[in-house]
Amino acid sequence: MSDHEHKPEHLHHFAAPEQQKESAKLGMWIFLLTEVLFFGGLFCAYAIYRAWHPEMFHNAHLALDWRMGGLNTLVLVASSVTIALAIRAFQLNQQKPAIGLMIATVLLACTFMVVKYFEYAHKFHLGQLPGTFYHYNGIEGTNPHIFFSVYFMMTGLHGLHVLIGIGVIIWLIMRAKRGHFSSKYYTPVEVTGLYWHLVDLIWIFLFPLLYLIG
Amino acid sequence: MSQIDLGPWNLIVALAIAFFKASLVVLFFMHLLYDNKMFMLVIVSSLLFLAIFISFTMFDTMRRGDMYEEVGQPINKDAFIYTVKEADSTATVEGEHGEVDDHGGGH
Repeated sequence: MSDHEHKPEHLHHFAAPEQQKESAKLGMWIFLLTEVLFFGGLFCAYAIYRAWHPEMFHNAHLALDWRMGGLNTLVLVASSVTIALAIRAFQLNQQKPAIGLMIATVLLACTFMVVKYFEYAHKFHLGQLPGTFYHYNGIEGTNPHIFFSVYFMMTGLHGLHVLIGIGVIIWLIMRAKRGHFSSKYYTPVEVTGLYWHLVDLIWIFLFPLLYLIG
Repeated sequence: MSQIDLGPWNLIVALAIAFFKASLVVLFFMHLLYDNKMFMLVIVSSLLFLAIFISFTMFDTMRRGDMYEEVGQPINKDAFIYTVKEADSTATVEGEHGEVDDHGGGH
């Protein structure tokens, strides 16, 4: 078997490299569709519980720090910028800046997780835990544990997606350092970028709904 | 919105800002504006189904119990049986109209 058979950038069951790239992107967009519906279920649960307990949601959300949430929003949007710039660098065949930008993306994503860790640690300390573990007395309203169940489920699942994204981007950095990507072939970076932008998008909706309840 | 209070507009303004930011990310960072139209179709259809999911669920949960309020109301508030009952509260009503029947009004 010659090495030519196994090159990922030109698989023989595609008619042309452009078609292969379009197929990869379509596959990722369909996956993003499933992710939208996946998180959509949780957003629906949020809508129901907030409609049933509007005052409690307002009181409970005051326990969240909107400045930390806002900082996380800026951090994630910045990481979206860096990965978009990394893809552009690959398009221009600038390998080293591209790798640097991907490392910057990972660092920003880790910053997000660190801020998240501090938020969670504070809540664990006060006893603001999901569901049956809730034991905090400072919030007025019916069933305040519901808000924290929703909060931890949504931000926890989102944080898991951030961690998975960090892992994938680190793997791509390792591949890029071995010279796998160039202006002719950078599809894995592009589809990972799409996934990363969706993670950012989900946070853009989570932030006002959890931290900025009127 | 934690800092500026617009009353019931809070949720709408917050979501509008989020939608605006989101469309910037989707259209430009994700290159959706310039790519194959199929990708736009995929993501728009996901948003459409999500909208149906949440709105139909809210139609249900927000209106539960409303039927009991409906059943508790008289069909016609100005019907004779109610006006006669109020006017002659001290006298009993007999004759062609028979007994005054409480059709479940005022539950």
